[in-house]
Amino acid sequence: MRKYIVKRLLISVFILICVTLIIYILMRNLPTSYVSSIARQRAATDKTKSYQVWLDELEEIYHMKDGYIEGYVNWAGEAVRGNFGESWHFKRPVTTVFKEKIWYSVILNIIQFVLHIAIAIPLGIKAAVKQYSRTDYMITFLSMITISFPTFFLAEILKYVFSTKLGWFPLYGMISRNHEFYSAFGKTLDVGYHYVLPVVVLVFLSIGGLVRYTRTNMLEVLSSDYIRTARAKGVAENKVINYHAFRNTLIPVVTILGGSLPSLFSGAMITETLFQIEGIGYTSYQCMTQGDVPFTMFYLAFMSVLTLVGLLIQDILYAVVDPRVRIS
Amino acid sequence: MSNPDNKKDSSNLLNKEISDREREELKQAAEAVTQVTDDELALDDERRIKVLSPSALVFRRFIRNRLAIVGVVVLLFMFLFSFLGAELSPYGYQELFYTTEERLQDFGGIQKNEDLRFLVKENVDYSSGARAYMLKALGEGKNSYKYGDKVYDIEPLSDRVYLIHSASEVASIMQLGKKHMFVADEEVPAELEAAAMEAIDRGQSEIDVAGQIYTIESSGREHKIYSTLPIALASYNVVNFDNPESKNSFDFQFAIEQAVLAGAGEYMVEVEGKSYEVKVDEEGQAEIRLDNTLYATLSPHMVNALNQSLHLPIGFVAETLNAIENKSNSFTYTLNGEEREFVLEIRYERWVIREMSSVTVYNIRSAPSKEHWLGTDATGMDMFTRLMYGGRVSLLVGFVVVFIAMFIGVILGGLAGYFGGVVDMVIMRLVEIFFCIPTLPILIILGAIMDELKLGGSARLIYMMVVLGVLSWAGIARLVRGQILSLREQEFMVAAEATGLSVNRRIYRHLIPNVIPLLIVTATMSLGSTIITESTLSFLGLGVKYPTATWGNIINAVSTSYDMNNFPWLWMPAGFCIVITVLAFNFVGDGLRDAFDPRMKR
Repeated sequence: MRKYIVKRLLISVFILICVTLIIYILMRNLPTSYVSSIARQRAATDKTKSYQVWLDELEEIYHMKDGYIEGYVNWAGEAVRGNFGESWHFKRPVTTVFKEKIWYSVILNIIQFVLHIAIAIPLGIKAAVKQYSRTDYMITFLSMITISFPTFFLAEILKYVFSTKLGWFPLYGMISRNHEFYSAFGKTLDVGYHYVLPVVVLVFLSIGGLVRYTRTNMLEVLSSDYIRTARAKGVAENKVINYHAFRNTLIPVVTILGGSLPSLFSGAMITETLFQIEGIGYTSYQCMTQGDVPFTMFYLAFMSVLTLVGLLIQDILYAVVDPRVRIS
Repeated sequence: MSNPDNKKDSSNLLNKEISDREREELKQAAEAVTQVTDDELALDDERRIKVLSPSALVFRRFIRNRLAIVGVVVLLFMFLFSFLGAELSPYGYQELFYTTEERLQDFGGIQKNEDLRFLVKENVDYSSGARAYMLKALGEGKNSYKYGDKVYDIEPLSDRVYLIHSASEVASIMQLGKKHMFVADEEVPAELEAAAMEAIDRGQSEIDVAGQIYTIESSGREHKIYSTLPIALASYNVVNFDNPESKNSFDFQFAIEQAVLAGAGEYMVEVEGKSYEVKVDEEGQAEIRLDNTLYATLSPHMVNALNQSLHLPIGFVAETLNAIENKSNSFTYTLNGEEREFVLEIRYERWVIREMSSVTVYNIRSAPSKEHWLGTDATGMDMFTRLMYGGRVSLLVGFVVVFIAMFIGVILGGLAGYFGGVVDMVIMRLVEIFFCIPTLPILIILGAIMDELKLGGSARLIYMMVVLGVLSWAGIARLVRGQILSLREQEFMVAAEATGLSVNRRIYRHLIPNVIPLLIVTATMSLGSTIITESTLSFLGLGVKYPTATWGNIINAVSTSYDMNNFPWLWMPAGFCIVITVLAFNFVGDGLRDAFDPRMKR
């Protein structure tokens, strides 16, 4: 087991190096006109640094004078120590901005994560237990719909219906005008109130996949021999479903969910942007569209780390939960 | 009589004929059956079972799935809508539409005249220099000034009208004790001398002799007698003639001004042998009629149309002034034979006359109508047509991207799965690397760069499709590899190897056909997700650019919340097109999966 984990870890580190190298090379190969025009814009809006200073700074962070590999090694050395340079957009170190923004995303994603599990797993199991019933068709149909909605369209519709027409929820933003006057509890409620629509969007879009996954796995479990045995020996149907089948269904589901844990930190770019939640997603979207190279580099590297960690957790969990994998 | 019977007979005959034939056919069929049974088929004889090919089986299972059929129908509709509909649509997707709109527009202005206007008597020289000095003298409060060798008197008739006299010396009187000497420079009436003496004695400075006014200027014993002649009129009032040909003259305006000075009322004024009817109101405006028709107006206001060539008839001016006077802010007037409504507005201390008139404008954001089934967008293009063309691009992007991803994914996945070992190891690491590259951020950066480089619509489209395809093959490769790995271990492959089939034959005849069902399912599902990715990028303004239509950038064109809230037809149809199409792809994919792999169906 330990050997397996070590092997996976080593592979992950190798892949991380490859991915960041690719990203680094991509960044180095940005069209010069793009970089220089961004630097020129920056120099025009921020008089404290001249055009050349911006370019020099960029060159310094990314060791552009060195060759690709050497430059990458130098950059990665700094990056590992947490030095990603200064964000062009925020004019503060990238990691400071990151620490400031990440928690808004994490809170949003945790709420979404908990809710989507609480909704999707029961639905998936119900659909599988009552396969080909009307309930099953309804649940399948609904989960299909949820995976067919583009995020932005769902967000716009919810905003149109609940903010504009009904006026129940704010259109966007994270705090209301009087936020400063509320008590600590009131402030939390206020932010929570602003989080309602984004959470609904995220949960709606994510339950479909999990419902289908749960249903498929539950069906597989229900058609297995040990369930037939359990039924044959006269175990109550309730117990068969809740005890025998459910527990076994959880194996793959927990694996998948464990794998998606790191993505709690990745932010929800489109949703955050549309609702102007100041999380990591919205921040990085702003930085990306405005040509903030240091922050973008950081975000790309961060995202790859998250994906890798997710894969790693998934693989290890799979091995931990299912002894068959360990043996082979 | 016999006709109906005949008919009955004939129809009976026909029935009989038919039933006979049927009976015969039945008999033949029965014979055929007995013949078959006569052959004594074995229980496991193939002929006892209706054999269906595997694909026919899949097809039958597929069409039994109601959701999948709905999906197929929707997709067919979407394809017809996008590819055929766009051809049939009477409009182009970049065609702009115009409409006429009733809009208040400036028609003209009315203003109190703030400049003195001079009217000079015929054949009199009153140069602009003299006019300037007059204004200067007026400003200094003098009532007489000198310009050149001439002396002018200013006679204020009111605070808005001045009469200017030119004075010239006609005679002088020298007083010597009780005697005096009268020297006349030119011909003067005989009574002047006596009248002047009398006036000097009385200390008068003005005398009226035979209708002519003379002024006496005394200095010691010398008295100079000037004859003064009114030569010009300086007035703040403006005369507007009904007929643009009519010319104003000193005599005419002087006569009218006098009537006005006399106060409100009606007067008859005779000028140059014509008698005018003058009606003066409290504001000092006058309406002048000749032969009972409006001839001119005199008023302190100037009225003019923005359109210089348009002459405003006097009635219009009168009506405008009337409206101002009545403090009503609109009035109607029949101009050039049509009744038009005008609105008065004060702007920068002057009255502006405005009129509702129709203007040709872009037909933007119009609500759904018979001409435009889904209305028009924010630049005046037909929304329904744009939806059709947008569908073309969105579907095209979906297919091309999935094709690229499939192409790379199948080859690499197949290689990895079939050869295993080092090849597998290398390819799988590559898959993992591509799996870790964050697609959406990369695409957003790419979009921003393409913005900066100002790439054209089709170039953007191609770049986007290639990048999307290259970034999304990893999942497919992994899937194909897994499938091939498991297939390789199965008995039929072992059998294929054992019978000595060539590698090519094993791959192409035995492995690939078994992977294809999975590929079809995956492709169908990823078509949906690609369409979502494309529309998301276009929505963010980083994908295909306006005016090329895609479902995503149709929604993006409505980026302000004002448009979102007030014109739902601008973005909802495109959004539902995306949802319905993706849903249909997912239904079909799901149906195909169930049809290919009946294991899941207990």
